[in-house]
Amino acid sequence: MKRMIELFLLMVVMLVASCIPSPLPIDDIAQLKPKIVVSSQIVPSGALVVLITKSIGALDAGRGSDPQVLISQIALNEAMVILAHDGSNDTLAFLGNGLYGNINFNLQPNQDYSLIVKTKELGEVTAVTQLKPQVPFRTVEARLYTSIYDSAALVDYSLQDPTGPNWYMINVQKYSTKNDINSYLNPRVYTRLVRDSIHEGKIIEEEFKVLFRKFSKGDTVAVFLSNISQEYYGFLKLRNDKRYNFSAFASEPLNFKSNVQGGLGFFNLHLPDARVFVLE
Amino acid sequence: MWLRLLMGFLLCPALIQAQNYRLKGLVTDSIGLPLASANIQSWVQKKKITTSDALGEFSLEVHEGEIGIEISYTGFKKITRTLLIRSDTTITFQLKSKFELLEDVVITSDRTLQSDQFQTTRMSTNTLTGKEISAIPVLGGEADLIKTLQLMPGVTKGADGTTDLFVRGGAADQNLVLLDGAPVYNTGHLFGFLSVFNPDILDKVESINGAFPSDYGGRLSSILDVTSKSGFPNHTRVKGNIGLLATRLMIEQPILKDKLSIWVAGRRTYVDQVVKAVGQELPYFFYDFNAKILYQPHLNNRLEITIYEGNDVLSFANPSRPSLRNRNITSDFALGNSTQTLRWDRKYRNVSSIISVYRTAFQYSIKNTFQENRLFVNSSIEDIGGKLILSTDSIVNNVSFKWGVELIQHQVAPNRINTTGEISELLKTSATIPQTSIETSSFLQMDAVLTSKLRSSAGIRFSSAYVDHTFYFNPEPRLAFRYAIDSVTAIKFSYSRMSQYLHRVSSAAVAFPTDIWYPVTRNVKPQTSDQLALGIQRALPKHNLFISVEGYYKWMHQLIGYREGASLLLNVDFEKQLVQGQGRAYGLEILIKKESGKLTGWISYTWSKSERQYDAVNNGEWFLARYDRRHNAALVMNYQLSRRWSISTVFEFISGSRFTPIIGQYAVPSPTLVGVDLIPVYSSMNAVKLADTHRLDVGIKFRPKPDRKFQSEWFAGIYNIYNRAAPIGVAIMPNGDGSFRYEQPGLFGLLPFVSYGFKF
Repeated sequence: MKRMIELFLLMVVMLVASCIPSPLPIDDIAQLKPKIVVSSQIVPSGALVVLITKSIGALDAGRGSDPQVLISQIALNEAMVILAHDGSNDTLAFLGNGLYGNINFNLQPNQDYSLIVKTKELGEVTAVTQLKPQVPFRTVEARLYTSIYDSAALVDYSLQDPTGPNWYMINVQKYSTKNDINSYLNPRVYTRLVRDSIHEGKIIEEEFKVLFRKFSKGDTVAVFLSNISQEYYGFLKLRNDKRYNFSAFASEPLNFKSNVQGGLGFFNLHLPDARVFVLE
Repeated sequence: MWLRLLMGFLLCPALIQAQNYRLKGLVTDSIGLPLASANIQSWVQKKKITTSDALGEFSLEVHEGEIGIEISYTGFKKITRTLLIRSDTTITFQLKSKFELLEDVVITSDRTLQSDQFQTTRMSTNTLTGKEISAIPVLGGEADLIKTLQLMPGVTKGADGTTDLFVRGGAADQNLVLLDGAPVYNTGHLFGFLSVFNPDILDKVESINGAFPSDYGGRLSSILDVTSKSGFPNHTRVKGNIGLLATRLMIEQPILKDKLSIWVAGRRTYVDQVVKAVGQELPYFFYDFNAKILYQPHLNNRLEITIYEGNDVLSFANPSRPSLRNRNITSDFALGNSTQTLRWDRKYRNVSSIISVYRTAFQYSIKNTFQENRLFVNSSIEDIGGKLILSTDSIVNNVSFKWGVELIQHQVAPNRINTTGEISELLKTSATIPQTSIETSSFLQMDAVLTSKLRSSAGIRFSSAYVDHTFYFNPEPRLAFRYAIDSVTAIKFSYSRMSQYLHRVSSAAVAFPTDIWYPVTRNVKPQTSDQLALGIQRALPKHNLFISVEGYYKWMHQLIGYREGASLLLNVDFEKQLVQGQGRAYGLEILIKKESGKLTGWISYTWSKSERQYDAVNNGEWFLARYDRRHNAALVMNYQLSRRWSISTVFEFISGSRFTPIIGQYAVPSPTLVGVDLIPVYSSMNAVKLADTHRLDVGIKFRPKPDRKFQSEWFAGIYNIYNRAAPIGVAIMPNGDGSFRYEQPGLFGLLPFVSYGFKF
């Protein structure tokens, strides 16, 4: 009897599985027209780097794509990139693979900076942002947290919040000894966003675990603290929130806002404070 | 007996006195079940017209002396009699089905028919009986009223297989689902793929999509009024069914003949038990329990108590996979509805009253542990409500009235989240503010026969809600006209305003069992709608056909939507994700329905368009609703081959729903410069139409011994016989060579089913 039931169940499962309908093709979805994409970063050494790329169609890349091919596909290498401040214009040097930068800027906090990008292929875009003053860690420590089930990185930090509203981004990055090119696309950088709403002008301190990532004794971990603009904070918060939408069919679609007029991405300037730890 | 009674009246000598008496009547079918909405015409000095009420009863004020009376009902033979009235008189009129004498294999008419509405001002209403619902093949072979309703005009379904209804361009939460008068908040089992209504208990299902009578309100788009069996059985009756998804059993037991009876019905999935028998584990089951007590001490007094309890339970601990063993994994998920209704019908001289009180509750709980993480979530809504309706039970001086009041208290405690462990970093212990809201309404409706061709129904409903120290009030006028072109054709027109003070917080695309209901607040205003409908109906009793063609236009105001990118799952602060805007929907609906004879079924077709506009969505521009499906057609047929064999088929065609696909992407460096993140770019809202859906289901039913007391039937068939996908969205899939493609996955393909039913 038991065997008969097993056989019956097996037949039902096979029947149902063999009858899952084939997905229907669809080929008339209009693709996004290419636009200029702006990203910027001040590296801890103080140099400004701007990445100028173009957007691509939804079917042009995805999980499993070769990152090097992708970068060569999207990089805009013949752009003129100008940083304007207080009436003076500085043209950024081309560094390769869509990167433009300059190490000689004397960027001033609380000042507005404009970015102008001119390309033959996709026209011109502009963006304006303000450099927020650097806020360093007052104290920071990263160590290994272990339980009977798992291990995680535990970060304990404090900072002195300057007067006025501020928005902070804290990133934790584990550096691997092997050069894993596959993690170049969508690297799962831990980003924690903090507002000073109830601690304005006071010391902010907390301890947090870096969730859903594997850590071991001896891992090298960098912790970054950046004082960022409200707009960039909003941009990052939306990206953080969208990470947990488990199905594209069930969530509300979102096009991220951009401060790039006529383009995509985000032009932001912030000075990170970076610390490196070996987990014990 | 009734004929003798009639003859007695006919042979009595006439007494000519100008005195008024009351003629009360009961219209039943040949086995004594009442026929609602039968047409009654009497004539002496002037013609009087009325219809029987839900219990088959009517009342007329008549002069003393001889009067003519004609009782007609679609599918039944008309009765014309001359009566001599000398005092207040009560008569039972028993109508015979037109088909009883023709052949012994035809389907006789049901007590409630779509064509009943022909004689009245009612329109925009789909009527289904338990028999119709059980006759057609559906997913898994489990008869399902909501899936059957999705085949009617004006109703569009959501994702394939789900029990969401989108009526005349509205949203899924704009339908008030009532089971014997009590709202049912969660209409789906199996995560929404099967409706919660046990098909055995169904007596009548009405989906009112427009021309709303004033005693109905609370939702913008439709009232789905489900009535469970309410007849007195002569003897113990047992009915059961064993199908692929569930088994069910119903027992009807008379206690005092025609005065007191009870029925109980249960349904449960048994797949978990079958799997258990072979040593495996399927940690999910659902069950329903329904019961009704009927007490009618006197013809003028009737009491009904209805109980419903239904739950879905998913529970497992430490899966057997070696990699997951000993990880302290447990998961308990339970959700369920329960309703209890007490209804008292009372008849006075020429006034009927209905008093009903109910309690309804929907709650779910999640208890998950993973290693040292714990997540507990509870959510609930509980309503206590009461309704009083007083109505004159006949058209006196060509006018009848209905008046009533309704009071509902909603207690909502959604999203109480408790977390410990690492997960609390991600999802903090928190709760949405519980709310208590009081909804009240009073209504008045006047039905009048203006001329021999023109009838009207005018009503007003005053609805209000008090919540969060805020008071909302909305007058809701209702108006309907019927103009008879000839004896088989009528033109109808209606206007209705509706208000809604409660909404479901749910993705616009798919409903989840964990969606919560929440009332209006200080910031979230009530939704309202105005709807105009114009239609023509033809009842062709000779051919047992009812034909309806209707057009409608609906405006929706303060319509609730969600911000772009809204994240609603376990979000305790969801109010910030809500936006309010406007909507408009219009369409044309055609229904041709044959309700008796060897061949029964219907053809329905709907052309419709539904649009939305929110300032904060799609740059403030109008866009098509997610379930704007331009064409929606269905052919539903059931053919009685012989006394033993019948076949049924369903063919459905629906235009694809709308979708917002990813059309592009761009790269931004990660904040630590170790890589780039690819960010998707979506099309404008709902810019793409998914592929059209069509499906053919067939079923064959065999009754081995139809004349025996113990009757059984086998029902076998195939759902989606040519295995076509009904797309739920657009996915991007790799081709394997580094390139990518779009495709539209569907959920349910060809699914055979078989079930065995019995009754005695």
